[in-house]
Amino acid sequence: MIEAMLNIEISAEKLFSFMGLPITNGLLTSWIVVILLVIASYILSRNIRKVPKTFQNIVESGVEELVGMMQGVLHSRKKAEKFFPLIATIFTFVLISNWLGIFPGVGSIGFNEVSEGVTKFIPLTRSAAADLNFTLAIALISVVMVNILAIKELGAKIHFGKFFNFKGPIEFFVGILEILGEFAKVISFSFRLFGNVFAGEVLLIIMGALAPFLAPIPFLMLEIFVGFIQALVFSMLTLVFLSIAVEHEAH
Amino acid sequence: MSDLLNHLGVDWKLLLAQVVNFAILAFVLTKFAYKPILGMLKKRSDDIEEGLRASEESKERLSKTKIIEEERILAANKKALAMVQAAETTAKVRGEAIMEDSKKKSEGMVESAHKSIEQERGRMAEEVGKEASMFVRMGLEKVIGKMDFNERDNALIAEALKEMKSASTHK
Repeated sequence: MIEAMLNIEISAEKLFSFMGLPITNGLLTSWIVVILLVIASYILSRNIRKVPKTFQNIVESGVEELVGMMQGVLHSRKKAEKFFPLIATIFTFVLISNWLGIFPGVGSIGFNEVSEGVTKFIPLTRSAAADLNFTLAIALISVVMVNILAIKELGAKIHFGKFFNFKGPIEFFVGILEILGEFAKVISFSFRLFGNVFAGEVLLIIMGALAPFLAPIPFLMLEIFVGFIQALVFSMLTLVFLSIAVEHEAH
Repeated sequence: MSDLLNHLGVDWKLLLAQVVNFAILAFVLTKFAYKPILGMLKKRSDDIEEGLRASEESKERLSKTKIIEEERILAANKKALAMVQAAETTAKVRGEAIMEDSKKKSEGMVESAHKSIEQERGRMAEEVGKEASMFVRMGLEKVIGKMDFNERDNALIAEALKEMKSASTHK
């Protein structure tokens, strides 16, 4: 029993294939998150009032808080509103995925599969960020979008001038480091989130197996906090990289 | 590298699926959540600013109106006072004129009354005279009786009248 519960897999488990696309439990959870958010935003858009009610109030205060934070970094309300969709979507997607991952049933409801004579428990859902495909996808989007927005803001010549600088040997080397930095960003982004969430999952599984009652509660609270912090870190780092990339060089 | 990625479960198809997920989410949230909410926040802050400006304006207008009102009341008071004063003066003048007029009229009336009394008195004296002569004639007829008229009458009448006249003047 415990052996089955302690079946920890670093990669998302494949549930079935659909037209050549392997449907994993991580992808399924990510779809659920997308569907939930689409429904919520649709309900919100239908009920937007000048004098806000509960749901609109919550969303508005969140939006205002995030825009304010972005304004502090970018020093402009206009820029903050311009880049808001990217930062806010990263934050919301990661946050809801993380929080959904600690929901009862996620990671614990599944089926047993016998392969090569070994019975293996496969959960139907898995915290979306505990699948490297999810974190890597968002990391790639973050870095690519930062570059695209910087090109839009400064022009391709100035932006690529940071990476390919032939003014001198030092500048040239700095350019190469900048290019490497972009790849490093992708790796650090994706593995930071993946590591945190996956570790949280493992922690909860182990705590649940060792002492199923009461003991996991503090860890669940910790995971709620970690889920929020990781979403914030991901979006804020994207924002900081963006603000550095779109800044006109002073010298 | 490829082994490591495989071991971590990285699959380009899954990666693409997650990118598509993110793109769908970004599109939907931008359309249904961010734009309407940011628009509403902007509209609300604009409305509040407009409301504050309008209230400031109306306050200013109110204070200006108050000043104008006070000025008008003051002017109206002055005007009313002037009107009352003018009316008092006119009334005084007209009252004096009326008094003068009535005085003149009453004087005229008294005078005409005096005149008519005088005339009446004259007329009455005349009538008394006529009636007296008639009585005297009747008395004399009875007393004298059968005397010859033509001579004595006339002499007696004349004498009697003479007496009467003298008597009336003595009176």
